[in-house]
Amino acid sequence: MGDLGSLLDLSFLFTAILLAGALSGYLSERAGIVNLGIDGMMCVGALFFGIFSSTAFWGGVPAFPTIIIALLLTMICTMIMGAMHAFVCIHLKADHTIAGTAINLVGLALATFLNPTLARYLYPGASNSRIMCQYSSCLPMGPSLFGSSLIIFLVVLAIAIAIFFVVNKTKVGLRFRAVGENPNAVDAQGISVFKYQWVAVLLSSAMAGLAGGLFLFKVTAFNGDVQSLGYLSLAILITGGWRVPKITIFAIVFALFNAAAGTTTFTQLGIPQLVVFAIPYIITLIVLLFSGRKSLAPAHSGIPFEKGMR
Amino acid sequence: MNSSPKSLFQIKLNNKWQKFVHSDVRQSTTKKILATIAAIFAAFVIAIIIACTVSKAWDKAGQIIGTIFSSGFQDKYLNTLFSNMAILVVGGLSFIFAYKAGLFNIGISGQMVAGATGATLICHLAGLPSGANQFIILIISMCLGALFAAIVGALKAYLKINEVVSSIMFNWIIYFMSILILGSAAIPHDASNLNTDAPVDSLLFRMNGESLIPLLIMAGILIAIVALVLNYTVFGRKQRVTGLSNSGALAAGYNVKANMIASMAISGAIAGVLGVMIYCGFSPNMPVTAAAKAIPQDGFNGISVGLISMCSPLASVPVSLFFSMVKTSVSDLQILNIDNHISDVIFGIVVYGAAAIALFLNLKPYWLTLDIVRGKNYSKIKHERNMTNIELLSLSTDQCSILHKYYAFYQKQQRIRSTYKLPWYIRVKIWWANVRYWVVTKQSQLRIKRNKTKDVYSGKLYYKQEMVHLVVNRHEELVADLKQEKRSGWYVKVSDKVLTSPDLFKKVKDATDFAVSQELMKDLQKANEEFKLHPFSDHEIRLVPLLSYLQNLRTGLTYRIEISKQNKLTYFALMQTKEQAESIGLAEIRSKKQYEFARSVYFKAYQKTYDLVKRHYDTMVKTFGRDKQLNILGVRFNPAVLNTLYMNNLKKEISSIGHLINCPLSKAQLREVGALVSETTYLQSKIESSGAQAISFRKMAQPYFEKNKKLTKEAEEQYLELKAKTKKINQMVNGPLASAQLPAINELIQQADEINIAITNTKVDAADARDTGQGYIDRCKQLNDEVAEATQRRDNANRKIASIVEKARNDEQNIKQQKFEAQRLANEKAERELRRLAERRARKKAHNAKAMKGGQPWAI
Repeated sequence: MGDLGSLLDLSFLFTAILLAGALSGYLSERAGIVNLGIDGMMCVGALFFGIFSSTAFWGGVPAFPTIIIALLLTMICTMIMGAMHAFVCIHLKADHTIAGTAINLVGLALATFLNPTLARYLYPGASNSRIMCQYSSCLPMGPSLFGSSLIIFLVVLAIAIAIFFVVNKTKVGLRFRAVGENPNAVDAQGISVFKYQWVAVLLSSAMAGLAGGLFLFKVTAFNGDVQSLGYLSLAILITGGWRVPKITIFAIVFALFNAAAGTTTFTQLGIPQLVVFAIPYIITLIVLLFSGRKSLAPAHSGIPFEKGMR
Repeated sequence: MNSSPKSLFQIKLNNKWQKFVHSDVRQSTTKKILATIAAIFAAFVIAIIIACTVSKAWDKAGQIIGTIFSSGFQDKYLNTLFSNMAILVVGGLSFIFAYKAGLFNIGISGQMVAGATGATLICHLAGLPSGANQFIILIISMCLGALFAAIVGALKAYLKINEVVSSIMFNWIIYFMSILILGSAAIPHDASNLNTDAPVDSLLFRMNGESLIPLLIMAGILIAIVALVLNYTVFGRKQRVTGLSNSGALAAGYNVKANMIASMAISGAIAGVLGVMIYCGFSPNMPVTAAAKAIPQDGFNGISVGLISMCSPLASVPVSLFFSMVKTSVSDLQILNIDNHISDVIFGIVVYGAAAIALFLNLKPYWLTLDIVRGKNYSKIKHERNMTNIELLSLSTDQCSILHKYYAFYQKQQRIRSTYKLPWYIRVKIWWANVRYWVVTKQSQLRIKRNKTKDVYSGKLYYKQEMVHLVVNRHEELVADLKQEKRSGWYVKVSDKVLTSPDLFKKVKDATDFAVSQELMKDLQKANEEFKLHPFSDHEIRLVPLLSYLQNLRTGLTYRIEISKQNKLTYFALMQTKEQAESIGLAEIRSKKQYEFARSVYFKAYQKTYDLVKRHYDTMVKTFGRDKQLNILGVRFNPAVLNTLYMNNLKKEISSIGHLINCPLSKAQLREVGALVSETTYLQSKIESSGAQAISFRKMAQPYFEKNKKLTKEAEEQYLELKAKTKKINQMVNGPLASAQLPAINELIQQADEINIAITNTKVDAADARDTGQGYIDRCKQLNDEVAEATQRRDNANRKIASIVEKARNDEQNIKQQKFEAQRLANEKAERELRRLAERRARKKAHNAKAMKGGQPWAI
């Protein structure tokens, strides 16, 4: 039971991270902006969460309720990266792929560059020169089914459900989707496309920041990169066909694989660990192969919006 | 809808500031290069700022920059620098080739790893000899890279799967699989070093300072191939077309899917080369571990290079040199307590700059370049230029600086005026003057008084004096410059108009008066509107200055004239004539007589111009009609019409000479004769004037000759007297001398001396008189000669005119004769024709009669 418990615990946390990352991609892509830079944004989010969760920030060992404030602050601060992406994609009409690549590179580089200095500053006495999560004492990641990672998972699931209802059932959400499908039609209605896109990218970066913050629960010491979870969440977004329920399901599946790779579950069956790591990507490719023709993606994603075009 | 799409950023910039900063020119190569340099520079600066703030090493900022630029060129790092450069270049080329075909190959790293892994594996298993396997490794690696890339391309082409997504997936799959394969393959080789082993270390050319040249050669060959293929082959051009417009390539009949797959495959092949270069040439092992979960960054660095070099294979060389400089300086920077990931930060920000390249492309930092090119004071002068809207051409930097001084003085005065308040009693005075000016009447005297009180106390007076001083100086300078450069004049351009020196000097002189100068500036500001007609500030009225049109009538230019109402036209004529008349008559009035003369000139000019303008308006209305709908008369004068008008004018002038009336002259002849007639009239006047002058000179010479005669006579008389005196003295000296006689002798000698002096004086006077007389006579002769020459020329001209006229008349006669001859010939022909017709009719009649007799009336 202990083995299974730790596996489930880890997979809950992974699901939360991946779901948050995939929702980040979902939010921006529904408004027509491709966000390839989830990975970079997650790196920066992890960095910020390291700052806001530290004892140096709270002036003592942080109490449990402050975790909400810390995560919110992380989300707000990660919006800087989102603003960078939005400015370049929306106003300068740059290629979204180039911008996303740049965000990835910048995020990863900044996180790795600032990591040791910040750690030295935040934990003056410690020998460890890596950022870490200091909530682990009050939020135990125990090898049990009903650990704190279940709470995190439920919270992120609630966010996902909320996003699903807002996007699919409310006026604002439908407008939001329309921006991704046909912004010129939205513009013709007198609705500001730029505003919606800005909000989308900022929310997306906030979600990525949340994912990065949650990632810090998983590792004991932040290395500067998020172990390609950003790319994996992109894969989930694509496999899930840009629909929230499917995304949630695939997040759980991928998280299970990823969590199982860390344990001895598969190696006991004779499957190497590296193959397990690669399985989510292979699944994505296969799903792409079968659903590529249908083009489930928002029609106008990746194309800069221009008012003059019909 | 707006046809040219603009981003919100551009629209928001659409104010005065945008004019200085924003430009729509994007296509020029220099601009692209400058934008790239600017992006790199900005990224560099930002990264340095981040590094300095993080490590709290602001005092070491200069040292850091110095290290980055210099440490790569040390002997120990030289190899690393250039091999890094080669690797970056090849990565960039791989990206560029796919990007030119519209494919964003983010999987360079994966393809590279795949190629290197496959090559290593096969060579390791096969155990090939060390001489041959270098090329085999290369080929296998290229093939494997191309295979994976081609799969991505095929997915894109046939299933429309986004190449970015699929290549990211492939990246990770390849990464994990290659670690697995390499690990298992290396077990027999070296079990202790599973993941970081590269069995080819001993097989291919070694790095460590030995295989720099092969790397550079490979990079060079690839640069040449990519540049040539993309720019000078049909294949490459087709790739680029596919990249620019998919539908366009389809319409042109290209096999778009094959093109996509081919370009991706070539990109993958280059990535394979990159893998060999890195893992077999540069570093002796492959640092991939399962735990790190980090794909090698070299592929992403290649993307950075490709993006920042704007997808130009040649530009990727300097860019990658810069990148490798940053990369190799990392180990030296660690001594300065800076983390070795600073190079990644710089790369990342540079790529972000590449994404935001539109920002740098639209920058227009021309004020910087102009300052460098034209000299220090130009940007200061520019302000003035903007104010007056004058483009000062042909001014040197020194002249610019003088003008700037002059402007600065004015500004200083303004500042003084604004900062220091005038004393209360003066303010009251000015206020009272204002009140009187506004309330009572707008009398000019009052205005002058008010302005004077203001001027005296506000420092404007000094400004005026300084202006006068400067203008005088400036005039002298300019004249000197003209002499030095051997030019006839200088000019200033006001928008489209060109003001020549005399006009402008008048304006500059006027500008010394403060009020006038303000008006002048306003005028020059409004000079953009092509025609200066301020009295009607009505936007629909754009009248042509008719006077200038009249002046330009002879040049035969075309004008577009738009007139709305006649009364406005007359008013305009009035204003123009007033100006003209003032410029003629009232410019320099000194005496009452002159003033009267000027008045008469004024009225004459007014009448004349008014008539001209009216007449031309009437002709315009007659010839071109009025557009009723618009209530605007649209007129376009073509050169032919202007020419006829000119010719009529000339005919009138020529017909004033008696014998030329009704002379049949052609247009060219008319022009020639016109010139000759004007010359003859000029010569005639010259002859008359100089003849009169000659006569007057002769008259003036006569009294001097008389004076000369008189003086010579006087001198002779005096000489006789002197002779008598000397005789007396001689007698007295020869005779017996008494002491009492000595004073008498002395006196006589003195008298003789005086007479002597007088003689010389009179002689001199006589000579002077003679010379002056002679001078007048000479002038007279000279004038006579001139008269003779002029008469000769006049006669020549007259003869020419006569010959032209004769020729014209002869021509006319000839034409007449020819016409007559032609008429005669035509008449003869017509007669012949008539005769023939009559004969034919007769024949027909006879034939018909004959047929009637034969009982066949229908046969003709």
